[in-house]
Amino acid sequence: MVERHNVPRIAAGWVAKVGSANERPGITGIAHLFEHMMFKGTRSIGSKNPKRDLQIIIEQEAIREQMRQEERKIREMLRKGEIPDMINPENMTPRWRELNAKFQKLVEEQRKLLVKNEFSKIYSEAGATQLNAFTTEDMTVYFVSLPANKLELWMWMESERILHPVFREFYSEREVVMEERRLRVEAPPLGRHYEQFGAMFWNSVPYKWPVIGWPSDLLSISKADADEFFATYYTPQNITLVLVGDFNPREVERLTRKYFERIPRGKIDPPDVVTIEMPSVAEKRMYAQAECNPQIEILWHTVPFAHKDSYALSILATLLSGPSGRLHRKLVLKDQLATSIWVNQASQRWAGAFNIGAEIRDGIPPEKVEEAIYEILESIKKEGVQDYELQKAKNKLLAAQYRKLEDNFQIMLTLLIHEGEGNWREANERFQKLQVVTSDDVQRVAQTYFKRENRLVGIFTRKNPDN
Amino acid sequence: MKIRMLAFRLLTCCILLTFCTTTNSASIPKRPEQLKFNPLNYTPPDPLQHKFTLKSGPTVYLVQDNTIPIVQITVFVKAGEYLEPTNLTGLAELTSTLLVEGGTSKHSADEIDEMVDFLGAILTSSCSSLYSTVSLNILSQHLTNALELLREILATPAFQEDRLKIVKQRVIQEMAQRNDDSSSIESREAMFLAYGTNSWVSRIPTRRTIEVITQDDLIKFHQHWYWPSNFIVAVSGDFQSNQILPMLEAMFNSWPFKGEQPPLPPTDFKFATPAIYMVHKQVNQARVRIIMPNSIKWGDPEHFAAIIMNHIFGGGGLTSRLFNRVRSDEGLAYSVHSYLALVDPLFPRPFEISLQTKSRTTARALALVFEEIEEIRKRSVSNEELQRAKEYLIGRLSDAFSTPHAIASTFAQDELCGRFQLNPNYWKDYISNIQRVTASDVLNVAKRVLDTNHALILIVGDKPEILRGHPDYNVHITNFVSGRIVDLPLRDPFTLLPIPETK
Repeated sequence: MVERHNVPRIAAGWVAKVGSANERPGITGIAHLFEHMMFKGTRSIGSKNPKRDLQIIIEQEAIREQMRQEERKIREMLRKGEIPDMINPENMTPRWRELNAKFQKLVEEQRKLLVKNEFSKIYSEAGATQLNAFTTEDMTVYFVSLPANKLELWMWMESERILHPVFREFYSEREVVMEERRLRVEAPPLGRHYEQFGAMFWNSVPYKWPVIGWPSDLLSISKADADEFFATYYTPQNITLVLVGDFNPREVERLTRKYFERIPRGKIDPPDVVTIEMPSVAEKRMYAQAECNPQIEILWHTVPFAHKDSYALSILATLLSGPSGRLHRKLVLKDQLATSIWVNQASQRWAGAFNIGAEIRDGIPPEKVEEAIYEILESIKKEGVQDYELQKAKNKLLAAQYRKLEDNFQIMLTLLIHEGEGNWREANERFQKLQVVTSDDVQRVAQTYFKRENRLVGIFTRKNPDN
Repeated sequence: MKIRMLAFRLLTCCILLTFCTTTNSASIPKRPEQLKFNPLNYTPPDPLQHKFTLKSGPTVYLVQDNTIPIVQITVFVKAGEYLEPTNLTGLAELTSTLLVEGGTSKHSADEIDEMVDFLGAILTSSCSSLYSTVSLNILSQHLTNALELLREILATPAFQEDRLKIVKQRVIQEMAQRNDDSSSIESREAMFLAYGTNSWVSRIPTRRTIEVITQDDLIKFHQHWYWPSNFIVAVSGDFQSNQILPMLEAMFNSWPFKGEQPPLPPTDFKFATPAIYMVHKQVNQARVRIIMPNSIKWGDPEHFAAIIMNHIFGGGGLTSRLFNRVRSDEGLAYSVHSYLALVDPLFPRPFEISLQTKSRTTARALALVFEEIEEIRKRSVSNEELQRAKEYLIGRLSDAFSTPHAIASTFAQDELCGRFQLNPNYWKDYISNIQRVTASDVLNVAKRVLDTNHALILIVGDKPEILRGHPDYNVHITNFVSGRIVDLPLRDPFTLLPIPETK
């Protein structure tokens, strides 16, 4: 809880410590699909006839089970090369289409009973804004901003959807996610490239598949899979609530006990992700021709969240970036090899990566930019960094940390994300740890992580240079 | 430069709540409607409480809040793209960029980069068709330095030649991407269809117009428009209002040149004739936009009815009618929205509906949208829907003013666009104006805004697949608007001239 009385509003959210890293091949995308399903209502929200609604869901599942049997055959046809894909309706078997027609009848019957998007409507008419959620490899976060007098509504709604969720409209929501996938991954010029770039990078940790899932998996996830996933990961011991804004903490405590203590603790704790990232043995490279300006992306394996080296790596990333950073100075302004540069250290829950990327100036060979980046890193490995540069990075991080405190919503997200990566306390402690980083630390992490075998290099050039 | 380290502490009080299983929850109601809430009467901030006029010209909005040691200063400048000569399209943007990237008479561009970074500040500029901005966000201990720096940037920029060259090259290289993403093609062609290819709203630079721009052009543009009478300043954060006012007065005093009052932008836009405009691009999702020549501008008598109508129809996030039909019912799109931009008191902006769906369900998604258009034009919205929309629009008001910066910049923009001058009580009366709207007002405004007779459709995507349609749905894209398909060719990204079709 963070009490702030500047506006009569509360930013409220919760994080379930589950993301795509908790999936397995076959159900990739389920954590995110699940996030969508959490807006579909509960036993008492979303249907005019909850009893019949639940029966319809059971009848739908029976037909879906037959459809899945049929889909197994269709998948086999695809593997044999008898059909080109499982997306176009013509490629599905007559039996499947017949079952689908039956299924659609039930969907129509259910639709008549629905109170459409009632969960969101209740929030909306309460003056709630920013109602949404997101899923990453590590976490699923649900949030909203409410007028201060609607605190108890939040308690009611969120405890209700954790306690009694109903995954209605499951299969049309799967289609929504397929459209989301087309929008974010398949239609943008580099979406699929980045997806495969990510798959290439990780050696063993379960970050290899995209958060949104492989299309084949998305289209075969069943409601039973979702039920099991929910039972395993949406247990109170795996969930943290965060509230920031205009409230009385005692009142929040009272209401939280009243509404959330009724949710039974899960019988078993969610399983740990036991896989540790395997050290790389060789450099990896991707050369891609795509509809894009020439660019280079380099990723190095680094360290997970709150690792003792993560602070020096963050300082290094800050020190290298920005208009006065070494990379921009040299590559964009002095030698004019690149038009822009980006640098980032991302420490996630199970593993981390350091990224340097650049858009290459037209006519410059990409490898020349790559070499120039390595030269700068080599000089840091050899000579370390200046005290002035170090202080500049610390000043930047200090100001950035204050900026995150400007509004309730930001503070809430910061706490939720830190908690999702491992521990909310890091939101408070990280800053001190950054301020004590020395020039020697920076030099040491540069030497440790910027090794050839530790990197993946992607070089993207324009597909059709005539255009 | 001296550095002072600040002690840092996140302002959190944390109590850990653990879940236990044994509690009496008997008093929890079955439905959320049964909960009782204390009344919350929110009054939006009053612009006059924050407004100051400096002797040196600018209007200033100050919102003091000393909880975080950060100050944000944004100078809005009446120097939009509509003021640039057509043969120098891109000049306003280059001027705006070079202000912060091109050095000043006192400091080189490199020195400014260094100074800003070292102070942990963020210095940015932006340029739109109607106005430009220069912003500085900085720790409050550096406020004096910050105001000096801003004065230098705004009054005596150097527009360094070496930096101009780099920026021009970057802008031209960016053009190369104009056809890469179907969404860029969609936005560009939508602008051309809604405003005509030659209006100031839709004019965009070509390689040629950027190449010919010289340092001299930047200097001229700057000296025409960047002077205190054309500034509106929003300052928010950690300062004392009585101390900062004289500092701001000094900052804008004795400007080295006298500029001009900008003329009003012309409003003679050319809306394209109704048809289905298609740009072919090999992607598996079609981007669809329906555009209508709306006649409602900011301040229209039907302003508030239009806001409510749009919210119910397609503007209202996860609850609108379009969202319910196109996304939830049939899973045809991830994003489906309508947009009613009531921002300019001078001219109306078109009403737009946009969605993205797999190529073969394009016609089906259009059918659902047009059914909803018919519905909201024919039948009154229910009282329940009307009430929900009002509760939302009133309840979210405090969210629009949730940070000091949001308050200051909202008021500054109201002043800049002439909204404040037209109706200084807009925010004060907002709630009662929303309350007053009736279901028949919504019906009337729906008939006015959703002008299907003049609607046009723009589709960017895989044309043969889109035309092929889907076996489950007996509908074709030619069922809508005039049924006439007009092929729009791709444009050369550097000249914007149509690329002749290759065989």
